[in-house]
Amino acid sequence: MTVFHDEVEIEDFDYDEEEEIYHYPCPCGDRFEISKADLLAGEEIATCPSCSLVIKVIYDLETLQEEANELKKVAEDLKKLKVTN
Amino acid sequence: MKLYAWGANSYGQLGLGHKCDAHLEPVEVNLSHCDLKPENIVSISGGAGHSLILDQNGHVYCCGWNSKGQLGISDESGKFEQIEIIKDRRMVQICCGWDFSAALSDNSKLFVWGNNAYTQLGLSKSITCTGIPSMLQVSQKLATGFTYVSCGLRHSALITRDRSLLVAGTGTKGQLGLGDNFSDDNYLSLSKVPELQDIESVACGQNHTIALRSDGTVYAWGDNRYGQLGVDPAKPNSFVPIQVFRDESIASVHSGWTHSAALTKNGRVLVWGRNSYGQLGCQKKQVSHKAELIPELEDIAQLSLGSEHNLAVTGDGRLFSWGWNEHGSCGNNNTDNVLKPTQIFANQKVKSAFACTGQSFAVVEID
Repeated sequence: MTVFHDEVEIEDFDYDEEEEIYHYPCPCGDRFEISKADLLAGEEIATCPSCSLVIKVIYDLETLQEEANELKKVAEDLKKLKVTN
Repeated sequence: MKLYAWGANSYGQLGLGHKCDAHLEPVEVNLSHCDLKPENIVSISGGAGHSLILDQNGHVYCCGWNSKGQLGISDESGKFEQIEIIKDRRMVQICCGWDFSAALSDNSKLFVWGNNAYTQLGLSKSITCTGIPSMLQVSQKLATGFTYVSCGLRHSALITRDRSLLVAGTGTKGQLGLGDNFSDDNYLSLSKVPELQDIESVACGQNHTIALRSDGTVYAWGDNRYGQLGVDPAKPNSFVPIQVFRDESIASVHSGWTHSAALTKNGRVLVWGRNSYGQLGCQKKQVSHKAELIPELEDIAQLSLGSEHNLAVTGDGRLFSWGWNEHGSCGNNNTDNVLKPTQIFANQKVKSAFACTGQSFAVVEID
């Protein structure tokens, strides 16, 4: 069984929009990270690239998936708009 | 005298001129390229990936990570370099938060730089970060000057000249002590903690804050999931200051990420909070919310807490370390957690030692 260093809510993570990765400070000085794709696939463990500590991400999968779908829809609408123009 | 560094070094925060995962054993820091002399070092503070040194001349030197401008110089730096822009000021105290920095000048002005995404610098929300140390402007009503600054993960606390307490940064876990009828959006970037007076010492942790009143009352607020406030973790947090206990012998309060400590006037160390990695140095329990003395430690002249490790120096120059040690932060050439205070530099006299986030420093007398 995984021993979590901490459980951290998704709202407390910093989000890197370019890389689509969520970050949260690790006490070693590096940052725990988990990609948006992993979260959408139901993964809930964020790891630190520099140490063995892991944290559990507290988030609502459905909300995140809905948000992702909405974003996708907006992007598709924009694409259509460009085509018609 | 010589400056030694050990522990986490992913961003070059040890000032050795290179990056690596960690140095498990103390390494001498070469300062020959700059004006900094080890014997002149007053204090050292460090964030996630950067470190600051203050010397007797009031000059501040920096090295390491510069992602948010936390160094106060234009580039990343592998070796300690003086922060030019504040070289004409005489600084008397420094403190690093996770990715931000603060320095107090001899005329009670506070200079801040680095990340301000959570308004942890006390600057306007429109400034997300700044690489230029700037003087904090406050209304005379709030403060006529500052005497001490402590920085945590995403918040800061400042003792004013009239000994009240101002706080800046995020308050989502209660770490600002301003009550719970707000959201972060409602905050002024700098607020006074109501009803706290005669504050002598303050320390910011990951998501909590500890303060000492001159009569020995210890106050705490913020996250309490590990008993770091000194009260039963059945109460998981507090958005207002709690009077935890009173002990007139306490001289100063200190904080790691999720553990807290007090140094008494006669050199004893009290600890409470999280103990998963041996942070408390005295018990077997994972969490202990009652302040307890570390029996092995006597005649402690200086105490310093990192994120999950600790350093203490005795009046006669012995250095003890304990706590989380995966990156060798305890400096004993090992990665096993150190569950009890253990002496390092056993044959040498240590003048001072500083536990930063995962990095550590000591000024050592060499025969």
